[in-house]
This record gives sequence, structure tokens and C-alpha cells, in this order.
Amino acid sequence: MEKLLEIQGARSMLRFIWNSWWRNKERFLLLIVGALIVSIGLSYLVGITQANKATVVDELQKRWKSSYHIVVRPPDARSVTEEKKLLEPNYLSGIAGGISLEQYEQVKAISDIDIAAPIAMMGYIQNSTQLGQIDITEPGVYRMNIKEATDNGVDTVVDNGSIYFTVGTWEGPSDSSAYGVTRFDGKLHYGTDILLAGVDPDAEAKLVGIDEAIVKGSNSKYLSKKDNIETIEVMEDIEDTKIPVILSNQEFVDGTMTYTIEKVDIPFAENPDSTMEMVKENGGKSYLDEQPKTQVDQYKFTTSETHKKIIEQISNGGDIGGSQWMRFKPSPVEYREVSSPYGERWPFSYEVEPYTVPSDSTLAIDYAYRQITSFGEDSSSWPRLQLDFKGIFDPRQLNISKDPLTELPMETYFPSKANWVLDKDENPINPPQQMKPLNNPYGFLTKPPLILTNIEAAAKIIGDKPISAIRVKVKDVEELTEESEQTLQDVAKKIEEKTGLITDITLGSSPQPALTHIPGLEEKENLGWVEQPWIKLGSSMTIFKESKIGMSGVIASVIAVAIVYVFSTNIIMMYARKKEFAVLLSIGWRPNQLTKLLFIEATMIGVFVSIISWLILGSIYVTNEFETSVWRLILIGIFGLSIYVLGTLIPGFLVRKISPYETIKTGEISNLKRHLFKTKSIFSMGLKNLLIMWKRSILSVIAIALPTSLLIFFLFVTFQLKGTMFTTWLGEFVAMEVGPMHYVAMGVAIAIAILTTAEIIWQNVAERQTELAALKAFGWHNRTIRTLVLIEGGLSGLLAGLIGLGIAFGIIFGMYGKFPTDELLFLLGTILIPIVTGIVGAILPARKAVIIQPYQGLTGGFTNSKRTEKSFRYVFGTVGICLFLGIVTLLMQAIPDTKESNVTRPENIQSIEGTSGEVQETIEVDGKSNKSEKKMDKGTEEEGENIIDNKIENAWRVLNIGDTLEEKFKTFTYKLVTENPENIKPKQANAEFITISAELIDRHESGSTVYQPQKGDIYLLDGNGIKYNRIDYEIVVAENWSKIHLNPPAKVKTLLTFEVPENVKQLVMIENSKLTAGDIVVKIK
Amino acid sequence: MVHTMGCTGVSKIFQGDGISTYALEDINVKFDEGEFVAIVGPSGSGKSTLLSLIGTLDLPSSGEIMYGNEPINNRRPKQLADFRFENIGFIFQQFHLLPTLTTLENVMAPLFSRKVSYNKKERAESLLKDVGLEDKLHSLPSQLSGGQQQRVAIARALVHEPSWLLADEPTGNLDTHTGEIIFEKLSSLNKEKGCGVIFVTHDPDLAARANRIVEMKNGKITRDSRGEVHA
Repeated sequence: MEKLLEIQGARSMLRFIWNSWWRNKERFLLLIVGALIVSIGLSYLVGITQANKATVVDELQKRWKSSYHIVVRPPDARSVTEEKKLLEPNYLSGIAGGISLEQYEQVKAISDIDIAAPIAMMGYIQNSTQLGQIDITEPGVYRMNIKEATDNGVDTVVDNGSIYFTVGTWEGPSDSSAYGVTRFDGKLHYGTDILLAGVDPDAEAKLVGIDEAIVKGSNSKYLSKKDNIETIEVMEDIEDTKIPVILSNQEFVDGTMTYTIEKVDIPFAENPDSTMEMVKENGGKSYLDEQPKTQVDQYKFTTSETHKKIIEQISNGGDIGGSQWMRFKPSPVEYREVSSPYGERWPFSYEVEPYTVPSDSTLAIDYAYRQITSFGEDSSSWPRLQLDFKGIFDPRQLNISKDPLTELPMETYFPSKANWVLDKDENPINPPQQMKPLNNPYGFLTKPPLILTNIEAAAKIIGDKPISAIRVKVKDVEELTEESEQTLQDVAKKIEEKTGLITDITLGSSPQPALTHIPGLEEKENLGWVEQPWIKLGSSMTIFKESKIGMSGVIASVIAVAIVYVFSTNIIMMYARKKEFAVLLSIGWRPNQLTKLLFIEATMIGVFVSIISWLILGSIYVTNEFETSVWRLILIGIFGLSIYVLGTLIPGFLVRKISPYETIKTGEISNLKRHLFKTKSIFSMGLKNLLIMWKRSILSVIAIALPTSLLIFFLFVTFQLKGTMFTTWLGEFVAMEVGPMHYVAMGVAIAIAILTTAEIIWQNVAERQTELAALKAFGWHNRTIRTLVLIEGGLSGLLAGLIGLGIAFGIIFGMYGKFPTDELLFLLGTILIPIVTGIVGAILPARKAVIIQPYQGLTGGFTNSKRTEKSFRYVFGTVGICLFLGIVTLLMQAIPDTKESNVTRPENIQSIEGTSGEVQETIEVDGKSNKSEKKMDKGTEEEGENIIDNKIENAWRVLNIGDTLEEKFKTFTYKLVTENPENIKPKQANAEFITISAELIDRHESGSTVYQPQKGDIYLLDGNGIKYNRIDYEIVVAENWSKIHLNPPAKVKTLLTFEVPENVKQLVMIENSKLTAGDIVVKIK
Repeated sequence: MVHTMGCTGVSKIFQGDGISTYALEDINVKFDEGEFVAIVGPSGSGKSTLLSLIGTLDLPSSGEIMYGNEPINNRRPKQLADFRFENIGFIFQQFHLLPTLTTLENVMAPLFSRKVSYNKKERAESLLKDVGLEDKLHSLPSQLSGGQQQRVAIARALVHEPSWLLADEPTGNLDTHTGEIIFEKLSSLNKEKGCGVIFVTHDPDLAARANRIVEMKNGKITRDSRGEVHA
């Protein structure tokens, strides 16, 4: 019976609560909106931590995982690019030894090191084979034209040459160059220059699993310790070294070799000797060049069929080796920092510093993109090798990151991606074209080693210090954590101390797109700009740390704000229902029944919130295929419930303090014990109101202060991150994923704060209705009353802002151990946000206060009039629903976005410290880069006096007014217009108008650029350095131009009017738009 | 069980802004069971305060509220609530119905989570029938007129058959005619059920119809007269 009654009691309690909610729909709506916002906060919380932790860390650990943690290099291996913590792709290929075998042993001996894999970049050899045999029997002098056409991805690079040879009985001297002919056995070879590297077979197998990547076949084996290195004496003083090698089955050069055989139309068969003497007398080769010829045969071979044949030969156990010289050593490209043409897109830009071949060199070229280092001036000092092919390996089977989109170009087995993105005039290439390596060792694309031998062979051939780098993998370092970073630093330090070599931690590196400017060489044109994924050292570690901090902040803020919101709503609800509770008490309810009522209500909403959160999460998981864990779901449930139950603790306690006497009492007489100050102005009156209701004022202040402080802190973290966040692909990824979500969270928090403030001030106003009505009865204006309420909101906001700043600075100091002096001004400026929040929160209550009629004060009491109450609830409900829908959409969009964020990049990339420097055009044969020399001269030019000269010197193009500038895709025309607009008058005395007609024709087929001549892209500058902005403009032509964006093909003509003093001596117009690589300076006076 | 109620030496002081105001000063009064009492006096004379003290809605600053021979003002809030439930029914000038509850639910509200020997719903329905609202059982207060609301309030006050009905200007918010109906109801309750009624009023005519008039001024009882029982 007892139980039955209890159940009945509980049921009737639930029905009581439900009725009281359902029959007050406006309030119920508000309750639901609040609950929904909290639900979103919760599911967001889980969604984001899920997305953040799982994806960021996964990205770092899986996709961009390098096979080694630390790279050890010779002390002189640092490149200029490393000042910015950047390594060029395949940087290992450019190091020609420098580490001895002893140093390697020392590294290996260090404890904690799991794998130490040395790599010795030895040099370039010809990987070639015979593909054909000339079949000519008719005696005669023949010319063989050798034409190699290599596709570098942008165009075809053609290398032409020819030799003459004879068929028949003539036998010239061994060096028959005087006769213009060469001895030729008729064998046609082709192949590519590839880099030979020595590795430790065991370590390499352990590091990248190369033993598992050997192509299956009876003649294909991995390198073994037992492989012999033989020295074979070919002749006196000439030795071949026979080394075991394995060859990559990938060929990256795309070339075609064409052999064209032509017969020289001179008599030969009858009397070869006299003919050849005649040729010799007439100048040999030059004579032969002039003679008419008839084509008799042609052979074409491609690199891919050559490579295929080599592979076949090796697989069949055939000997293709023969002996060959290794002439060139690996060398790095020398880079120079330059200013990026699009610093926002590519903060880092470099220019290849071409190498000038010494004039006494026997090389046939004057310039190359990298230093040409050969083993010696002539073949006597070049190592002679015989390759003993042991097997074929497939680099695609290696255990390294190979995702083509996001490949971290630290591994040694593939050429790095390179896209031609801008031509020499800095016009975008659409679509970007992928570059391919050339068939020579000194192109600017660094090649991977495609043929491997063992480290002993490398030592035998190279000598003392054969090893280029040691890739180190440390024990027990699997994840990207602060501990693992510490371990790596310790190991790196040990290596440096023991060996004197330099180390870099590569774990946590990220690809970083960087631009490389390729200047022209000799007759070759300046190519423009190539984008390559460089390696940014250590960036992911920073991002990992920072985003962890950012995340905890966001989580904390969402929870804290939700609790404050629930708490203050409950308190406000309690105040609003005070009379109702008093009635219940007076008719005999026990005080603890009221407490129970509040807790049951809270539990119901808490359960509702949990269910909604689960639903939201469920839909996110279904649509985005996220994974979740059971404990997370449980956690959400607990959070939803506990936020509401915790939020009810204080109201549940306060409700017991309600006296049933409230039912009889009319009007509230609550006064400050003493007046702190005199009430003189509206301002002090607002402040007094706040102080009188100080308990609830504190609530609204806290509600605003919490999200504010976290917002400020988050902004600071963003500042901290900007150096790393927006400069790497990973950073962009994180920024895309986390950035908007963070701000959504802060937005939700602030929205909740507005809601809270509004509710609190609303209640204040409701309770002061009598007072406000009285003020009106005294003749106060609506405006004054509105201001009074708004001041209350603003003051709460100001107070909250000050507290928020204090908390934020506290957190910043706690986490970073410093005071944000650099960003102080900006952060102080954010105090506007809470003030605005407070004022916005006060808008509706102010409206309510205004519509109070004077007579309402006379009846006493403070029941809200039905009409105002209703309108308030409706407005609030609508605002809340809009907010809710907005957030849901944002959430739904933000999450799928993260999946594509590698492809789509943020539009607004923060400015970061990029590279700067001037680029060169074509390197002339006389070795002068005239432009760079000029720069040297005027580096320290004084400012001010020669501002215009300075501008002209640094200009991209300089014109006279009236000239037309014709570029490949664009035409700029600037003319003086004599007629000035009639409707304007000079503001200054002795001033004149100058109107310039600026015309632009862009002949590109696509693209979009910001172009705003009317908004400061074009201005005038006088000799004193005074800048004049246009005072008036007129658009004459606007084809495919939105006043902001230019979408070529386009034509724009604007008339820009400037006001300039009459006595100005020197005057130029500057166009500094995004269309050009630099300023166009147009001389006017 | 019907008991006398009374105050011995009761004072009520309101503290505000450093000044203490006496709302009631040394009140000694005793109401006998089944009495029909009017408390009259000008605004601020302390009549509502006295009513709330007798009804244990508020506690005196000094003195004792007596129920029978026992002081009750030192009881705990829970016990006071139980006391009100058992013995007192309240009727307010502003009716104070719970706006989210129907007529029937409002009447049943005091019985909420209380164990009683009778059927709550039947009791409430019969009371509403008594006040002539049997056709408004499921209406919300906002759908009722002022007089109807006050009749609901009366039914609510009577639901647990209290020995005392305390009414704070029960007709103050009603027009004369409706007020008359309400007053008649109170009067007949007093006569038929023997339930003591104490009501505060401004209206000398209504007061004159009570069988005892307590006049107050400045927190003191200035006159306590037993008039003739109005027929």
C-alpha cells in the first residue's frame, strides 16, 4: 500500500510537472531551446574531441609518418632553407657522403636506438642497355643524328647531337676526329642517369621492409652479407669494382631517343682513303655538315622500353653490366630565399641558384641547376664499376608512406612531386602541370636513388666517409606525444655528443608546399614557379600540442557555460515562480517537496538533453561514418544529466528559503544596507540596480565572463599557432577542421551567455515594474528607461569582460608562462564582445521596460502582463530556434568539410614569416644577373628623398603616362584624361585634379583575382613621398569584373580622379594590384 | 479537532535600511473555535501581517502564536507546512491559483503526496460542486472569471477540511455582486461546517456582518468587538 501510494505520488508529480510545462508553452519552448543548445554543446564536445583527437593524431601518425625518427647528417649538410625549418624534398639525395663507418658504428651502439640505417649516395651511373644494331653494309660516310627528347611535364627538352662514321674498308687512326668521324660499332644504347646508393641491407630491410619488396623471380634476390665485392684489373692501372646491386623497377624519366642514320652524299666506295683525306683537308666535321645527305634508317627507343628490357635481362639472368664510369657525385641544389609572388598561398619561396660551370671544365654546358661535382677532371679518376645485378625491387611495395596526395617526401625511393604552378609572369598555370625529372644529374628535381648496393661497396668506391645520412628509429617511440619527443631529443643529443654529426628530429614533420623559382638557363626560358611539397620539421608536434590545449579549453568552456546557463536559468525560473512556490507552501506543501520538484524537473530535462545529444551524435556518425566508443556515449549521458542536476543544487537549496508570506506581501522592499554612492545619473542608477540584485548580477557576469575568457584565450592560442598552423598542409588541415568548430563552440557559449543575461535582466525588469512605472509616471522618457536597462546589460558585460580578461591572462600565464604583451592591444579590444553581449541581452528586457504603462505601477505586484510575456517568449523562441538550426547546419557542414580539407584550403591564411628576396630572370651567358647586381648597389639607399626613384627601381614595370604595357596575357593602358568630373571641387587651395584612365585587358581563359583600382590598388605618389588616394572614380568598362573580383577573360576601364597640389614636381602613379608581380610605376611628372 | 488560535505578545519588526519598523506591536488576541472574525483597519495597520502570522505564513519577531495551548511558531518549516495542511485553509485577494493547473488539479494541489483516508478526486469534485463549478472541472484559471477563480480557491482551501479559513481581502479583487456571493459562501461554511473564519477586509459593510470585529491601527489592536450575528 505504501509503495502503491509512492508510485501514485511519483506519477502525479510527473504529471504535475508535465502539465506545468506544457500549459506554459512559451516558457516550455525556452526550456527546450536551452536544452537543445546544451545538447548540441555536448554532442559537439564529443564530436569534436573525436574528430580532433582521432583525425589530427591519426594524420600525424599514419599518413605523414616517416619511416625514421631522427636523421643524422654530416655537419656541413645544412641548407639555407633550414633556417625556416624546411628541408627540400628528397634532401638526402643531395648529400655526397661525409659520415664514416666508425661514426655509423658509434651511432648504432647508442642504447635506445632500434634501427640505424645508413645511406650513402654514391654517384650517377648510366643504367643503359643495347637496344639495337645498325645494319648497314653499303660503304660510305654516314651521319648518325642522336636526338633525345625528354618530357619534363611542361614541355619537351630536346638534346641534339650527331656523329659521323664510315662503313667500308677505310681504317683511320684510332683518333679519327681530324677526319670528322668517330669509330662506331653500330650498337645503339639507351638508358638513364640514375643515382647509386649504398645501404646496410639488414638495417634497410628493418627500416622500410625492402627485403619484402624484391620482385619475385629466380634471379631476383635481396642484397646479402655474402655478396662479394671484387676488384678486377682490366688493364694496367685500370681497375673495375664489381659490386652487388639491386635495381628499382620504376623509371621516372620520360624520354625518347631517336637515332637517324643518313648517308653523306660523297663518293666513298671507290677510293675511301682519298675521300677521307679530302674531308680532312676541307675541315673534317664542318665539311661533312655541309654536304647533302640522304636518310637511310631510323631507330626510336623510349626510356620505358629500355627500362623494361633491362629488367627482363636481369630477370633472365643475363649479364648486362659491362663496365662503366661513375663520373658525377650527388650534389644539392643551392636555394636562395625570395619573396613569394603569392605570399598568402605559399609563404615560402626559394629560387634555384644556378651553378656556373668553371670555364676550364671539359663539360659541354656553362650552367646547371645544381653544382656539378665529378669524381675528377678526366676518366682516370672516375670510379669504374661493374654492376652485378642481384635483384629487382619494387619501391611501391616498401613500407613507407606513399599516399600520393600527402606524401611526405622524406623517403628516398620516389622522386618528389613538383607542379608547375606559375609561369614567368606569375600567371597561374591552370591546371598545374606535374614536372618529371630530366635525364641528367643536374636538373633541379632531386632524384631518388634507384640502384642500391651495400655500404661496404660504397666504402670501397667512395673511400673514407661514404655515408650521406643515417636514418634512426628509436625504440618505444610509436606515438606523437610529449614523452616521445623528449626521448628523441635525448637520443639526438647523445648522437651529436658522440659523433659530432648533426641531428634533426623528423618525427612529426609535415609536408609544406613551397614555391621554387626556376630561372632560365642560357637559351632556355625562365620557367616560372614550381610547387613542391617540402618537409617542415617538427610542425606537427607543435600543432599537436597547441590543438590539445585549444581543445581542452573549448571543452571546458562549453561545459562551464552550459552549467552556468542551467544554473542561472534555474535560479531565474525559481525567482519567477517564487509566488507560485509560496502559494504551494501556504496550502500545506512541505519545503522539501519543492526541492524534490526542482530536481525531478532537472532530471527530466537532463534525460531529454542526453537523448537529444545521442540523437545528434547518432546522425553525425551515420552521415559521416565516425567511430565512437561506448564510454563516450555513457559520458554524454552523465554530462547531460549532471549539468542539469548540478545546476539545480543551489536553486534547490534556495527554494527552501522561500517564505509562504510572499503570497500576502505586495511589492518587494529590498534595499542596500547603505548607499555606496549617490544616485545622480542614469549610469549610477543602472549600477545601483545591478548592485541591489547583486547575487543574480554575479550570475549573469559569470555567464558572460566564462565564454569571454575562453574566447580570449582561444584567440591567443590561434595567434600562437599562426606560425605553424597555416603554413603546412597539416596545419591547414587542422585549421580547417578545428578552427570553425572552435568558433562555433565559442559562438554557442556566447549565445547562451546572451540568453542568460537576457533572462536575468528580464526578471530584474519584471520585478522592478512598479518602480519603472513610477519613473514613467514622473515623466521619464521611454528612451531614458531603455538606456537605463541597456546600461545595466552593458555594465554586466563590462564587468564580465574585465573578469574574463583576468581569467584569460591567468590561463595564458599558467600555460605559456608569459604575459601576452604582443597581442595585448588586440586582446584588450575583445572586451567589446562581452559588453555587446550584455547589451544585446538587455535589448528585449529594455523593450519590456519601455512598454510598461504608468498605471501598471499603481496596482502593485509584478506579474508580467500576458501580452508582453507572450511577445517576449515568442521573440526568444524564434531567436533560439534560429540559433539552434544555424548551429546544427554549421555542425553538419563542419564535419564533412574536414574530410576534404586536404584539397580545399582556407581562403584567409594568416600572414606568417615567409621568405623574401628578389628573383632573377634568365641567367645570361656572360654570367651576369643584371637584376641582382642592381639590387646590391641600392640596398642601403636613403629613404624619403628618392622615394619615387626607389619605387621605380623596385618596380615590376615602369611606364610613361600614355604608354601601353603589353604582357603575355594582360594589357595595361594608362592615359591622362583632360576632363575632370564636374561635380567635385578641390578641397585644398592650389590643388588640381588629375584624372587617369586605367584600362586592363586580361586574356586568360579562367581564374579569379582581386582587382580593385578604385580601392587603393592604384594611387599617386609625389617626390616627397606623399601618397594620394583617388577622391572620385567612374567605371567605364567592366566586363567580367565585379568591382572586386576579376574573372578573365575580362576588361576593366576606370577613370580615377586624384587631388594633387599644383606645385608638385615629381608625380608617379603606382598600380599595386594582385595581378602583377610587383608595382607598375607610371611616370606622370 | 477544533482548537482556539491566538497570539501572545506578538510583535513583527521589518528591518530596512537601518530603520526598524514595527508592523505589529505586542499583539494579544485569541480566537475561539468556529468564530467568524473580521480584521479591519487602514492600509499599513498590520492586518494582513497579523493574518499571515496566525496562518504561520510568517514568523513573529517576538511573542508566540498559540494553537490550542501550544505555541507553534518554534516548529520546523516542515512541521509548519504539515500544520497548515491539517488546520488552515487560505484564501487570497489575488486568488493565487496555479495558472498551469486545471480547476480540479488546483483543488487537489494541497493533497499532493499526502496520504489521506478519502478519495482525493471525489473530494475535490464534490467541493467544486458545492461552489457551483461542476462544469468547470477541467478549465484553466485563465479561462475563469474572478469570482469563479475565488470559488476554486475556496474549494482548494477546504479540501482537507481545515478548522480555520484565513482570507486576505477575499472580495477585494471582485465586484460587489461577486463579492457578495463569495462572502455568502464563507458565511455558510462557518455556519454549516463550524469552520472558523478570519478575514481581512477594507469593507466596513462586510466587516459588520462578522460576529467579531478586530480593528487595527499602527500595528496595534485598537478595538475588539463582538457584534451581533448577522442573520
